[in-house]
Amino acid sequence: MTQDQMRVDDALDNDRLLRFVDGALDDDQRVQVLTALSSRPETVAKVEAYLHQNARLRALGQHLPMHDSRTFRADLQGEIVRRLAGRRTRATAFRYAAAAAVALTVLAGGTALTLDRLTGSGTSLASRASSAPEIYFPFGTTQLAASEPSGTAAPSDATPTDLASITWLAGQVPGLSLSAPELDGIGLHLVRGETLDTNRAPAIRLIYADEVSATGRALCRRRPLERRPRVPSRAQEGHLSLQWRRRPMIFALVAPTDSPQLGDRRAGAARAWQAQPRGHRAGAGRGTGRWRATSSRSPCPRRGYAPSCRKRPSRPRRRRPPRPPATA
Amino acid sequence: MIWQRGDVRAEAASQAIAEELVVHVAALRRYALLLLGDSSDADDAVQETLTRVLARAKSWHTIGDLRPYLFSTLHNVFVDSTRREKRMATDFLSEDILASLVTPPSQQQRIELRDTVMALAKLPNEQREVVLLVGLEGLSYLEAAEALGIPVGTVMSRLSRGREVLRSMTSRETSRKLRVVK
Repeated sequence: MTQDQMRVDDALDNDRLLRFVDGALDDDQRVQVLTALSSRPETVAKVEAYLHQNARLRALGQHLPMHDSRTFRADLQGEIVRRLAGRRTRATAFRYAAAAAVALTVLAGGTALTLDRLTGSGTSLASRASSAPEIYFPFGTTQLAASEPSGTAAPSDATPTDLASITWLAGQVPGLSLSAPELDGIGLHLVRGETLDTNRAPAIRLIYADEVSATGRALCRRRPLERRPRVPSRAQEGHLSLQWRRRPMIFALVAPTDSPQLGDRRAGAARAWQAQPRGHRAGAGRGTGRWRATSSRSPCPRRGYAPSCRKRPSRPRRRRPPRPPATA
Repeated sequence: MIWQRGDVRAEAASQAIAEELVVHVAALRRYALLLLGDSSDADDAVQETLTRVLARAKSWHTIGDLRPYLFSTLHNVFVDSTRREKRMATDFLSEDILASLVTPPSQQQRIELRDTVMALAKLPNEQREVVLLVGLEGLSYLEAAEALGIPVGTVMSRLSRGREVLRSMTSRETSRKLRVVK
């Protein structure tokens, strides 16, 4: 193979031919290719065919509809408007929801749901109430369900459909009575309750609304049977999740954070919480003396919600060896 | 409030995007029509492409060049629809494309265009994509590689093979026609 032939082969390699056809070569390279093509008629036919293909494709593109059909443009415009409107709607809803947050955050100082651990089957409701710790809650409560014994549930003002989830939760945790907050005084009413079956432990969600139908949520679930309980820690963007524990239950209050009065309400709730006796504080948990007394009356066979009542294995005492008698 | 400012920014960005998108809609429709071979499927694909692009409006500042990005999104839509519907090459409706020609070509042109469309229909999808992006839309090799998510070398090899297949088909058609004339 002569040097000229090698030069021609280099100039007409496949990549370079493609670049030549697509106009991706500079002037010097184009001249080289054109010079090399003069000695290769078969390659000239190939290049002509490629150029002809490009010309045909461009002709095809020119004859295809370049402008949008009316329906397509309308669809596209509608899609854009819908997306923008969706953003505006979310923003407006968020603004209204901030008002609901003010009321719902009050709950953080007390409890959203009040529960009493029932200690004996023969105990009356009144005596159980007197033995249960008082829980600070400024608006009163509605007794929603009692799982045991049957017939001891207090009369309820709420509609049965709203209470189904709470009844269900009470049935999941034996020996528990639940109370839901009455928030009508601050313009919030219970819309509905939902059971959350996907959680590891039984859980419900209570949804409240104000006059403009902005909603807030109160979550309640039983602690999972793990040593390190997983709390519902995730909240929607722009929302605050306040969590606290009460006996075997975990509560979460989820409400929008962007409320100008949220800080005041939270501070007020914290003051109210501090004003309560230590044993009566909501969320004081298993460390309170009253809880210890309650759990001491009922055995706790590793149910998971009161790990402190488990008996720790006592360490065996080491006996000292007797001293040798003193020699005279 | 922070969320209000963010919302206004996002809204302004979306409007700017929408205006910029309209410029490329015609090219997208043309490419989709020749890629899918069916006008309604092409419109659906372009609609889906624009919807996806609008859905990612917040991350638009990271996009360098809009055109390859749009073709890349359309390519993804095409791949998804091909996987979902197991589209075959026989779905390619060349008559649908020929019926949608806005400017009625001459008889000779019409025959050539029909041959081109039918030859395109017989190409594998990956070769057809490259041939259309480079030959029809005039994208550079680098832009085509970016749009398809493949290396430049792969673009060139697919382009070479696709053009060779097209050449063999069109030359066969020509020789067959010549025989008929004789």
